[in-house]
Amino acid sequence: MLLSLLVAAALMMVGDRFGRLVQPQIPDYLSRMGGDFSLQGASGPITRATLRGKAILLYFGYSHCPDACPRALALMARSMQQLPLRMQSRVAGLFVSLDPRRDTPMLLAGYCRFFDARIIGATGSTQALARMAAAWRVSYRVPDHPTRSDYVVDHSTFIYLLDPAGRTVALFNDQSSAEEIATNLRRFSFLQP
Amino acid sequence: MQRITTTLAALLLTTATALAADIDINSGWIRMVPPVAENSAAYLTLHNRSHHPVTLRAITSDCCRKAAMHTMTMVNHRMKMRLLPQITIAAGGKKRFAPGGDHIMLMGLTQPLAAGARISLTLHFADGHTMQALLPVVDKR
Repeated sequence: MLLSLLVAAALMMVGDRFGRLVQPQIPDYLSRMGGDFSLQGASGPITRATLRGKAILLYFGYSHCPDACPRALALMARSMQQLPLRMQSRVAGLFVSLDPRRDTPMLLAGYCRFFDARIIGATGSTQALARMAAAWRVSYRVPDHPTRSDYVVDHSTFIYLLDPAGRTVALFNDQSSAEEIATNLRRFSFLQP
Repeated sequence: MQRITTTLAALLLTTATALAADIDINSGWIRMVPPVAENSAAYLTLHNRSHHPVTLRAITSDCCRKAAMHTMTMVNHRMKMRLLPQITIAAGGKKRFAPGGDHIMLMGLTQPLAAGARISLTLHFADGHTMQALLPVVDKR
């Protein structure tokens, strides 16, 4: 009886220590990012609750982007494809278009599907996008009254990693490697909500 | 492995014919984008082997409604893309259009880009000369 109590106590101490060792440290500036959002995808509304339970790679851009967005989405796709088979369904991507004037949810679905079936395309009202962009400190500029149909949208190009509870836990850019992102996806996709 | 193969193909398949001006085009390729996408980008390196500067003014192609050089600069974490009306390459100098930097934006694609397809671009120089460049479409996924 005493021996089993001692063993149990020892295991609890080790377990607690091990728990702290595997708990990734999230920098303050990331923990202050994020929140709920209200967008439209091709299959219906996309909110934080829609994505709960999966680790998410989040990127803001627009489909008329010739270089930065195709590169970022290809990087997100390659990162997810590097995961072991058993983890492939525990991750997803979210491509938020800051250009609802030209990007419909249907178009975005087709756009994202090209890179990976797990990347969801979504957009929303100007106000909904502004709120979401502010939550993730996204810097962007959409012309108010463009005179031509081929206008440019300036935007920041970070890739955000959200854990299954929707918390922002890591940040990447176009210099990050698929291996680095995949490592982080593996780390964070097991965290309990 | 496929990426290496397609990159090698891009290096080998880029061909260019110059009229009078002594300019080489290397490492040219066009990014394959989703079929629904309106725009893509062409990348290449120009080497001016002549003894005088050359100025590239415009690019045209049947693959798109309009093509134009663009710069990319990061200002306060925001990527700004702006039209580049022309570029002058010094005698013996090089100009590189590459991902993440200056590129040739292809706007209003007339049909979806297929991996391996070869697209002809015409480069128009300030002195009236033109060059044809045949660039492969590369799938970078």
